[in-house]
Parts: sequence; C-alpha cells; structure tokens
Amino acid sequence: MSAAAARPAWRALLRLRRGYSVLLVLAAWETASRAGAVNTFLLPPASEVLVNLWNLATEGRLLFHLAESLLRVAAGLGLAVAAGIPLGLWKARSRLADAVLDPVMAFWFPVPKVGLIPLALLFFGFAHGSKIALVFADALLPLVVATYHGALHTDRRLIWSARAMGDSERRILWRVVLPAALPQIFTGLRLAVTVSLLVVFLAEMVASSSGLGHVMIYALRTLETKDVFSALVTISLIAFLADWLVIQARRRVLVWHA
Amino acid sequence: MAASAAKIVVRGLAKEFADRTTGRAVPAIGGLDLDVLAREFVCLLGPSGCGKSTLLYVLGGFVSATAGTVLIDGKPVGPPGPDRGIIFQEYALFPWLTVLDNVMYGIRGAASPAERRARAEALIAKVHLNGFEGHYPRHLSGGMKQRVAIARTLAHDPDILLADEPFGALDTQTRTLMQEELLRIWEADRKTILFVTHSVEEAVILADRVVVMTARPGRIKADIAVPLPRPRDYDALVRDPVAIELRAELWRLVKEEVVRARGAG
Ligand SMILES: Nc1ncnc2c1ncn2[C@@H]1O[C@H](COP(=O)(O)OP(=O)(O)OP(=O)(O)O)[C@@H](O)[C@H]1O
Ligand SMILES: [Mg+2]
Repeated sequence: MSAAAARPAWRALLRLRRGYSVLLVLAAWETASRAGAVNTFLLPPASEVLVNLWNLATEGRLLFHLAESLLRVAAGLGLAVAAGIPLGLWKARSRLADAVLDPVMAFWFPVPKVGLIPLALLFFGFAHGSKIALVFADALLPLVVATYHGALHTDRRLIWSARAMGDSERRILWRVVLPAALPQIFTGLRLAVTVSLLVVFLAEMVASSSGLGHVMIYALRTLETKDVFSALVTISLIAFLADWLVIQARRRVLVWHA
Repeated sequence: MAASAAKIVVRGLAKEFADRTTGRAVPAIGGLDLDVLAREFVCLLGPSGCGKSTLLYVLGGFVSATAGTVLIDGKPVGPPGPDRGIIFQEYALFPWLTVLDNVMYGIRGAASPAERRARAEALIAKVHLNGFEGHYPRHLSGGMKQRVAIARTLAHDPDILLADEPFGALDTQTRTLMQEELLRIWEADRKTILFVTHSVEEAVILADRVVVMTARPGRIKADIAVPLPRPRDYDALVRDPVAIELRAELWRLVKEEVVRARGAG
C-alpha cells in the first residue's frame, strides 16, 4: 500500500474523529439505558432524548429560550470585547494604566464570580440585564489579560519602524500593537466564549424565567428528565459550535500567522 | 570644511545603560565624535557590543543619549520621523501585512490610494519582487524580506538611511546580490547612508569612508577613506590591489578591538 494512496483516506478519518467520538458517546448512552444498566427515568435513551429535542425545537419554545441565552451571551461578550481589548492595549502601553489596573485586576481575578449573581440580580433585575452584566464581568478579564500580554511583547523594532515612518502613538496602537497582539487575543477570546456560556446557563438556572438554563432547571423541578437532557444536548451543541466559530474566525483573521 | 556643513554631526556622544541585575551604569558609547556628509556612504565597523546599534538608535531618535550632542542638518536630533529611514538586521516587517501593504505603509502625503499603490509597485519592481505583492513575510526568504524592508524604507523617501547590519543574516551569494542592488539604488538617488556591518569586505565594496569603532565603550578608532572609483565592480574589487590593502588594514584594526573586547570580558 503506497503512502500517497493511504493519505487522503487517513486525513478524512482524522477529520471525522471528532464526529466519531460523539457518535460513540451517543451509542454508549443508548446501550447503557436500553440494557437497563441505568434507570431509564434517570437516563432516558439517547434516541428518545433526540426525538424529544426535535419536538421541543419544532414546537418553538426551545428556540425562544435558545435565542434568549444567545442574546445575553452576545451582548455580554460584545461589551467585554469592546472594553477588554482597549483596556489591555492601554495597560500594555501606559505606565499609568498599568499602575491603576494591576491592583484592580489582582483583586478581581480570584473573586468567585458566581458570588456576584445575587448582586447582579439586585442591580440589574431578573431579565436580561443581570445575565449580560455577569457575562461581561467574567469574559472581561481573559480578554484584558490576553490583549495585555500580546501587546506587551510587540517587537519594539516594529513600533520603531512605524514611528520612523511618521506614525503617531495612537495610530501605532491600532495599526501595530493591536495586530501584533491578535494571536493572543484570539486565545483570550476562546476562553471568554467558554466562560460566557458557563456563566449565562448558571445564572439562568439560579434566577430566570427564560433561557436554556431555566429550561433545564424547570425540567428538573417537574421531573421531566427528557427535557433536562434535551437542554443539556443543546447547551453542549452551542458550546461546541461557538468554539468552532472562534477557531474558524482565527484561521481567517490570522492567515499571516505561522 | 566647517563641521556644521556635515549632514550628521556627533560630538562627545555617551550612552549608558543600567545593568539589569546590579542597577549600575554600564557605558555602551563613551565620547564618540563623528561627521557624515550629505550623500556620503559611511560604513561602521567594530567588535560586537561596541555600541554600533546604539549609535544608530540615537541617530534615529529611538533612544536618547546620556551626554553629548547629535545634530542633523545643524539641528539637535528630534523624535523618530520619516526624514530618517532605518533598516534593522532582523527585517522588522509587519507580519500581518502583505509585501504590497508593507511597502505602502511607508508612503505618506496627500497622494491618492491609486498613486500610493503605483509608487509601492514601482518600489517593489526596483527590488525585483514583482509577483510577490500578495505574499506575507513568513512566505519569503531572508533576502526577499530584506528587500521588502529596503523598499518600505525607501517608500517614505528619507534623507538619511540608517542600516544596522541589514545583510548580516544572508548567505554569501544573496548578500553579494543585495550589495549590488543597494549600490545601484544609491547611485541613482544618493542618500546619506550610515551602514553598520561586521564584514570588512562589505565595507570596502560599499563605502566612501569606513569608520572603525573601539571596543565598548565605543569611540572612533579610525576613519579611513575608500579611494575606489564608482560604480564599483564586485569582481574587479576581489583582485584590486588598493582594495586588498584596505581590507587587510581594516581587518587589522578591527581585530585589535575584538581582542580587546574579549580581554575586557
Ligand atoms: N537596552 C539595553 N539595556 C542594557 N544594556 C544594553 C541595552 N542595549 C544595549 N546594551 C549594551 O550596550 C552595549 C552596546 O550594544 P549595541 O547593541 O549597541 O552593540 P553593537 O555594537 O550593535 O553589537 P553587535 O555588533 O553585536 O550588534 C552592549 O554591551 C549591550 O549589552
Ligand atoms: Mg548591533
């Protein structure tokens, strides 16, 4: 067998390996449930959950809650990106900013942000406001830190080259420091996306009348385990898709990067 | 000749750095005097660590001197600006910009985007990189990157070109070609060039005048004119008795300082 002939098939297999592992989990789940290894009330068969998920989706209720969750994540994450990247750049390029932000961040970093849920509810209400605020609070730090580290290690000769070509410091920040930090920013963004989803579902479980987290906790209270699992599958799917989107965006934006 | 007539005038330049661990002041340049005339091509030779890069950085306005005066066109050196172009040893191209965009970055003024593009394309052709306009730096060889860096620096049409061992990382063949290209460009449009090199051969091929620096803290040890006609013929210079003599003399001067630098530890 020639290596050249084997290669495309092998590549295709590698591409599918993610899909395979998902299928494997589903198969194991189905078997465990059907074989009676686990009580079907606690663990309904995968096929029934998927059918249930389909029904919920076509009936429209699930899509409404999904949209609610996604809206909150998008708003919170968008605000965190809009604030975090400039803050990180500023911290890297200004001693004053570094002196001001360092203690604040050192204090903020270890705070268990779940503890803020009651405060967020108090300040921003039970609807979108509190969830958006919590997502923002959690997604901000990874973005600031990643941008800061990426910007800090900008090759000084690139900055000097730009200066020698007559660029103002402000222009250098956007045209040199920001692109130089982009690879790191994407790493921070990936982390921020994961954290945002976690936070939004958690906050919705604790106090909300909408969103996937709410669907899950409501199903649990009414002992609708199929609904619990349907929400879980949806959440996992969303997390997987969001991560995939970030990776694709990174590949497109960083074509120049090795 | 009055000193004030020179394009670049350096008097008593000293630069100290703070040692990172001890915090003590370490002298990098110690009382350096240098004149460079307008449109002159001066090569700077010296042992590693003698302050050659630091001198260029002071002239470029990137770092400030500890003592002494630096005049450019009779005025104290200002912050970095497009009047002085700098070429770094490690190319320093923007990795996120294509060849065309890197070169266009340097083009300023009221020119329209179409004019800027046309000028960038002309410069790219000048350094023989046609067809590579859309490539990113990471897809280019060292010699190609250095040519882009030269084109980008020429794009803002500086009066003074500061070059820090620009061909140091290149193989011998590429290096020779790049030297010929640089000379061709310079002979068509003579700028004032201060060119740092480790290579005695390179200095003799390129320069009107070669300045040898002492070991750290760097001062001027010798200032030697290169009485070879232009345009210079690379092959002829290999056997030219004047060039051979000059190379031997420069090598002797540099070697003394390299030995001294070693001894000083
Ligand atoms: N930012 C800095 N902080 C501390 N010391 C420095 C700094 N920059 C340069 N030096 C020191 O100053 C001296 C001169 O450095 P410089 O880079 O100018 O030498 P050079 O002649 O260009 O050497 P090379 O030929 O190896 O490039 C060296 O001893 C170096 O260690
Ligand atoms: Mg150097």
